[in-house]
Amino acid sequence: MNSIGTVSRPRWLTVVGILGVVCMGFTVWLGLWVTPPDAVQGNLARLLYIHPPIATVALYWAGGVALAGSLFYLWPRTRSFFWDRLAASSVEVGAVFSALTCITGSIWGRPAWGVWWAWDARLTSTALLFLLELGYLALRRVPADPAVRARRCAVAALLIALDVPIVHFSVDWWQTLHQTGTVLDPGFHLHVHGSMAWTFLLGFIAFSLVFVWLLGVRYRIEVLQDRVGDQEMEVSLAERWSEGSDGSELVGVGPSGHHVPEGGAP
Amino acid sequence: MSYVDAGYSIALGILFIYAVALVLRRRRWERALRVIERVEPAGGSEVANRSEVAERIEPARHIERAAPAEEQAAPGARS
Repeated sequence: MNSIGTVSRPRWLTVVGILGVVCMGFTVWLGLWVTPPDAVQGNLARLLYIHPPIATVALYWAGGVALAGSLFYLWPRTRSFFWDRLAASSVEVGAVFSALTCITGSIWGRPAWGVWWAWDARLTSTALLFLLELGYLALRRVPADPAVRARRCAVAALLIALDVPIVHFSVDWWQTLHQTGTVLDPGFHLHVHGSMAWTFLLGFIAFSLVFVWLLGVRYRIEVLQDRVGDQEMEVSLAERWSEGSDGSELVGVGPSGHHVPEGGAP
Repeated sequence: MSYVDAGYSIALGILFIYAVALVLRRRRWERALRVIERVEPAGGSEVANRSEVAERIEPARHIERAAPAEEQAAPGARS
């Protein structure tokens, strides 16, 4: 375990990262060169080996971690900055995956639907998810006491979580251009088979592993930022003491910061 | 370039760039933490580690507490 001070870099995270890259490589190889073209969509269906896994990560993994972290932070018995940092890390990584969901969906939609974008319920609610995540990240940059900032962000994460079921059920609640379940239908019957099914499964595993790795690295940055903030505070206090370590000078510093000779003002 | 190639390139490219950016950010913060743990205060000797910083803070707090008492004593000393 590589560590600086008490901030550790766990070895399991490196293993997860390597596994994620290997699985991703196999997904691309299977998706682009091994699986047969789809009977209806032809080669365009190859985009679906990455689009649903990316959307799954953006919606369920990132949204779920952000929701759990925020709830645990808001619950007084489990309140800890660990949960706040985890939720913040998850929202940032989730924002990247939400953007990728919109981009890959748009690239698939142009040849399939004839348009880059449609104000469809699924697309619009996913775009809203991305905007809410950006709002969360902006809120996090507003200077405030760490506890106040954590509470505000936890409430904002709950708003993000409210959008997740809307995205999920949008294709059932409204008449949409976007198709319903791509891999499983509501009765949990598999739509794809053979090498296509294995490539799908591997895609889900690969993007999930990559998400865990990104989340771990992002969480470590949050910890380091907090540690640097604490250390800066300590060092600036130490410097103040160091500047005034000569007793006569310390007593002689006036409110304006100018040195006042001992015995009173001139 | 087909839509499929473009989709794979953009998705994996953005993920790769984000991952590299995260690693660089992490390294920058690790370096900042290392630097700050060996920081040299202005006009003072090198502060080797955190415990030494803490030792310096404690007397500083005592001085800050003592300062108002000395200010009160100062007018009397002048007269």
